[in-house]
Amino acid sequence: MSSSSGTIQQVVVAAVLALDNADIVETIARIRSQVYETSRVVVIGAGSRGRQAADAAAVEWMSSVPQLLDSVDGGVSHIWFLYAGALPRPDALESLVREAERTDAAVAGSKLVYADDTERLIAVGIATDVFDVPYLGMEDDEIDAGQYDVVRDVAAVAGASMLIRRDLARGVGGPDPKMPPEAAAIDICQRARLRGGRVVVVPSSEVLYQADRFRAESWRERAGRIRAMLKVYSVLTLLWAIPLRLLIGLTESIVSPFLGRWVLFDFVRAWLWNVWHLPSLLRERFTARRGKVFGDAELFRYQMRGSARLAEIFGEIGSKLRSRLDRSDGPTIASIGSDLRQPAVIVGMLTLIASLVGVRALWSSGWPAVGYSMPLPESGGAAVGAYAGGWNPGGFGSVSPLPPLVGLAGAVQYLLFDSAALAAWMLSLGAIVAGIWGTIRLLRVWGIEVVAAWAAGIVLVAGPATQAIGDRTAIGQLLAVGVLPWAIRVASTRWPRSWLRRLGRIAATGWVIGLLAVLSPPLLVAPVAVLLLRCVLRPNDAGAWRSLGVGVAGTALAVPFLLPWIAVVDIETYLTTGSEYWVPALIPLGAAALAFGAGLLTTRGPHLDAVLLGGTLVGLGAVVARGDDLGIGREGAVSGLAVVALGLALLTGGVLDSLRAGDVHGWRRLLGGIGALAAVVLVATSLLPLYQGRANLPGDELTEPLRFTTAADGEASASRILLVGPESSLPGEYRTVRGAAYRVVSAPVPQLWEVDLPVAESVDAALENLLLGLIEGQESRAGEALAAFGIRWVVVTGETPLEAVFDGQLDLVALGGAKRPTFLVDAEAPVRAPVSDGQSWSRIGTGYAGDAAAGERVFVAETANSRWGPGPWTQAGWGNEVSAGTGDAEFSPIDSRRSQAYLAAAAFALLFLFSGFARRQR
Amino acid sequence: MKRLAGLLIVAAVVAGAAILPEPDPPSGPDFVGPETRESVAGASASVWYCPWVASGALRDSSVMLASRVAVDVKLTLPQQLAGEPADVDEVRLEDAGALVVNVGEIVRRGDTPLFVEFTDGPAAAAAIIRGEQLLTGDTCVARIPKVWELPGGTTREGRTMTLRLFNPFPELAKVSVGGSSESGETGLVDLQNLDVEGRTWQDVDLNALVPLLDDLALTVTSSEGFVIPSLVIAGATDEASWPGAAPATVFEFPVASSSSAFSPSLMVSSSNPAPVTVTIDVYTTEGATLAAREVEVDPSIPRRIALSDLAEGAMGVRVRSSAPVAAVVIAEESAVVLEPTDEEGQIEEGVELGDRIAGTIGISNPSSRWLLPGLQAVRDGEATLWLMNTGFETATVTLQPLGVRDLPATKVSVMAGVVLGVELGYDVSVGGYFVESSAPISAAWSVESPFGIMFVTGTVVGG
Repeated sequence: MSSSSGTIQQVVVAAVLALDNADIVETIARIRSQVYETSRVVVIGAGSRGRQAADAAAVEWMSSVPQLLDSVDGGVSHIWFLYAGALPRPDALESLVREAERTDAAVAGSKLVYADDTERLIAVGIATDVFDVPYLGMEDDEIDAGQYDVVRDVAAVAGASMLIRRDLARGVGGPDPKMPPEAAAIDICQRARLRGGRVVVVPSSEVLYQADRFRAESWRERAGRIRAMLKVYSVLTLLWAIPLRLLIGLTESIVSPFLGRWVLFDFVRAWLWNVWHLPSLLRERFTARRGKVFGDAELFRYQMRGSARLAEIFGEIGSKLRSRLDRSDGPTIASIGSDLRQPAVIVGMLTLIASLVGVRALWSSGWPAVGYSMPLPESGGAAVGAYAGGWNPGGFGSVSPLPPLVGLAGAVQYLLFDSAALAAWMLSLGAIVAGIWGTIRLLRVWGIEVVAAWAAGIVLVAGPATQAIGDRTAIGQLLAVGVLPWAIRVASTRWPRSWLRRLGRIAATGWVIGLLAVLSPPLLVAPVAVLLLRCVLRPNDAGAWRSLGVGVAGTALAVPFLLPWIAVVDIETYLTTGSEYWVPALIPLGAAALAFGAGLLTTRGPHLDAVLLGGTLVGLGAVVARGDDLGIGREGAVSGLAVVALGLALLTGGVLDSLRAGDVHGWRRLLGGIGALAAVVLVATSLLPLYQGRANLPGDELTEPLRFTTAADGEASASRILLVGPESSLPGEYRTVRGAAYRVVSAPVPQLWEVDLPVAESVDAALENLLLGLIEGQESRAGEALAAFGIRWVVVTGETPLEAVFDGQLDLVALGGAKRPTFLVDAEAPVRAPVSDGQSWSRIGTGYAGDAAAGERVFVAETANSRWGPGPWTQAGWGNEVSAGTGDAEFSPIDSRRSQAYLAAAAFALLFLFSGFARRQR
Repeated sequence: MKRLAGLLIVAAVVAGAAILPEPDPPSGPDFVGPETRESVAGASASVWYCPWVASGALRDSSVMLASRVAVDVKLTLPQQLAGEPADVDEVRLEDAGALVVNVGEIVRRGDTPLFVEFTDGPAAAAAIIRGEQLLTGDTCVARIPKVWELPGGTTREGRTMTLRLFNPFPELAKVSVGGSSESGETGLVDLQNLDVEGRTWQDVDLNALVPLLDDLALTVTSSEGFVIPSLVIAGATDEASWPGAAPATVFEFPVASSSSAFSPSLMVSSSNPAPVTVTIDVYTTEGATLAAREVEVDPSIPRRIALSDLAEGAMGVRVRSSAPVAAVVIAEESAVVLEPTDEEGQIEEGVELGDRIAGTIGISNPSSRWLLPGLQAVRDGEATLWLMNTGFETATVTLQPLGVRDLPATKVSVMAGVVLGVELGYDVSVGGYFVESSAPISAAWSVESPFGIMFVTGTVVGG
């Protein structure tokens, strides 16, 4: 076919994509009215509805784009994709074809204007950021004055009207059927560009469209954009793009509620959707990058710098601030006062800043290696596996249950691309943000306004009690502090009217308390205790009693979350092991006492309730935190500090907010001011530790002194380190020999799952006997003896008489230049898994792997347990000997515990999803 | 009302929290470091260091092993060049036994200090060196203090003095050697902060550094690592060697002289800030002479006390001091007998050739059980077991020969206040002795041949 002017006439097939309930017939009518005729019109998708619409309009119907692509012959030059509901002007196609031919574009898109107001622009081409988030570059409701009417290259064009060269469409496979419309349009444009095709917008081609259908911010669109990003970029780009995308998503999730949106669930769902569809993503990625002509740089040319999403959010925040301040009647004292009493935006920003500052030092390395704080294991999956009936690697290993925190942190790490540092950073950041935010939400429910509640939140996450938790390096309790106010708040909010939402509320209470208990099991009972105290304070408040009931139900629902740990652990031993005793600093103690006294005498109503409840919680928490004499162990005592932290927060909020009361005069007013000043002291003493940037945790003390192990021959992780020194300098729990503390850790640095030591077994007795022999001067080849335990280094962490016992050994070499006195074992095979043929295996997760050696045996220097395999298993002294024939040695998980872990995960998912579902029901 | 109730509740719980007592701090370690390893044969694995060993063209060495239990023994002979692999030999002693290991059969490369590891105990080792006109040796040591006292040295005319610093451990040792002579502190500036590489040794020629000193006592201090020192005094042919000694207030020397052919002397040195009074008791086969001599030893001035005028013939001595001192005995062939003894002015041939010398360290604590590796196992010499009873009751002593097979024991009585010499000829089936006594005694042995003499202290059996 040829045109009258003699040039080759382009043959176009129109494809109407019936993606939703939009009017197909009207779109077909508009296509038929085009001055540039199409050779065929095909309706794609929408099942029977699409088929009926096609029949009614007497056009073809096909189920999918690939079917269409298969059906077009070589005579067709272009395919014009239109979304159902798009209403092209009569010359829209002609303009597209003409300009596409002129510019040799592979993809050409139309200008979109409002269907109900054609003078207003929706989009003229789309710019995106590197994360494929679209950026239109125009104001809302911008009038079309021809300001964008120039054909130009763009990152993408709107999918509502898109002309694509047939050969390219076949090459790239058309729009991705798993993607929602706009994401699919961006995706296909990017794939076209990778193959060398130009993507242009043709403003003279106008299409009328419904604005609310464009840029619909559903979670599917978010998921689609992530998928588009993951499909086209090189691995190198993805290495930095994915963490940044996560960070931006998290920031948006935190800030959006202050702008009236709730996107956290969308954020999580979008990523989970992509994880679920990973196989198809990998296939699509392979197809998209096969035969590419250009690299990522070509995509970057048409993208904006920075994040479109953050730019939009900050723009919106600025706009809101301007709208508050730029009043036509000018700022007045009253209006400024009003703003200061309700500065949700500013408070949100301050929260975000305080949180980011508070965890900034954890970004690169995660949790510090000091005390009971340790970096997360290298593999999140391995941590989850170890928790769910696997091998507990603490000390020389055991089947003792790991604390639930290990399982939770491992799961988070697994979802965050197995980055231990990122997972630790996110958990700590989340805890601080959640703590401040949760305190605000809780106190708002109890009648305290946002500024005072924010200050209370600061005291909660960084106050003297939380600092004490940090000093004790109790990561679980530090994270639990962030969840504690939510556990009370969810149970305390207004009781819904519908039964579905009521059940959803109980479910939400269950999973929040469950999360709290997973982080710190003793805190399982804390929300109910707080709600009960509130009932005592407000005995006539039916809502308080109802909240208590919800809390009790939620606590009951939360118990299964602790499986399998709770089914195995000896609760009494758990609660009484270790020793802690809280001695509060004088200044915060005095400030708290003053605030309480002043609050007691001057406040009333909800403020008095907050003061009384806060004071009681401080006292009760202090009893627990100082209850060593009562038999309360370390876990219980540190959990008591979390209760103290909550009490101090309530006290601070109640006292500070009481300043708003206008009916307090005379000496009461003065006393109230003194109380508020004391509360401010509490807040001030809380802000300073946040500035250190380690989420209240002390500095790392072990990583650097042990870093030398990574420079040793072979793999450091194949061996262990014996640490000797004062109790306070050793990581986690420790053992003693004649009163001197020591413990064995993995090289190069111990990890979180090693913090707790299991009950001493024969291997521990063997090591103790060796140390006794050294003390008594009976050993001369300590290196050889230590090598049998897989110990390659002895590091002295502080002053200890044990240091001298390693002097004068025939096979221990003192390492010069080490940060701490260090001895190197100079003996055969100081490794954890030596093979009988002389090689040694590496440590992978909680197991070992190396070269398979048929007929050989590998000694696994872990506590003897018949679940080690592959068989035949034999006990070799205190250790294990298994076949080396398969190249790996693993602990076979305990099925019942694994099933319980699945049950716990399922219970969490069920309650979480149900509460989310019920919350959205009206 | 609400305020009052709240105040009471809060006050009650806060008061409750306030009165809760702080837990006691952990009791902490009940030791300050490793217990000092003594040169005692205990009922456990042990290592014995033998610094003065050599096997070459002119000398042969033997390591004498004795054990009361079946035990695996590993002998390690480091190289003088750091980093070179050591020569290692492993043997086994079945049941209670003794064994003589000829070092030349392991390696023959001259000086070869070594250490012996027993996997169980009681067990002990001694080392001897033999040459054509040479016989020396002493017990090996198990203790490894940071500071060693080595009295008894001399750089006088006719004597050469060598200090061997043996570092059997893998790490570098930094050693400083201090000296004191009849002139007081002797500046050994070249011997400060000496580096002794791990698993090597160094020999220091004292004659070159501080010549012509009659008496020289050394103190070896390790600031890093450990060394095992040995002092060697050589005459024209024979030589004597002994390991470092630990200061004590009592020393017993069952053999100070084996016959009247030797002039014994006691060498005492003190690191105390004030003069120390030293009392010498002399024991012979006839009986004891308590407080036979009393001398004062000044700080940093070693004292040589001639013993030949206190008794004739074989003798043992006990040294008591008012503060810890270090002591050794040295027996040198008597210069007096070098004078013409017959009418024709001829010198007796055997005496004329003699310049035999022996020395040994003392015993701080008498014991009722002793191991004497090597006794009766030295060829070409007359061995004598010396048993000294400084107690007040007669001791019945069982002498159990040790070898590769069971041998019959014999019994002797040692009267209170005497030293008894039991002569034992060379027996190929015997490698050492286990001595058990009904009362605490001291035990040592000597070997005398026409070309040399040596004294070897016994090893206490502990546990």
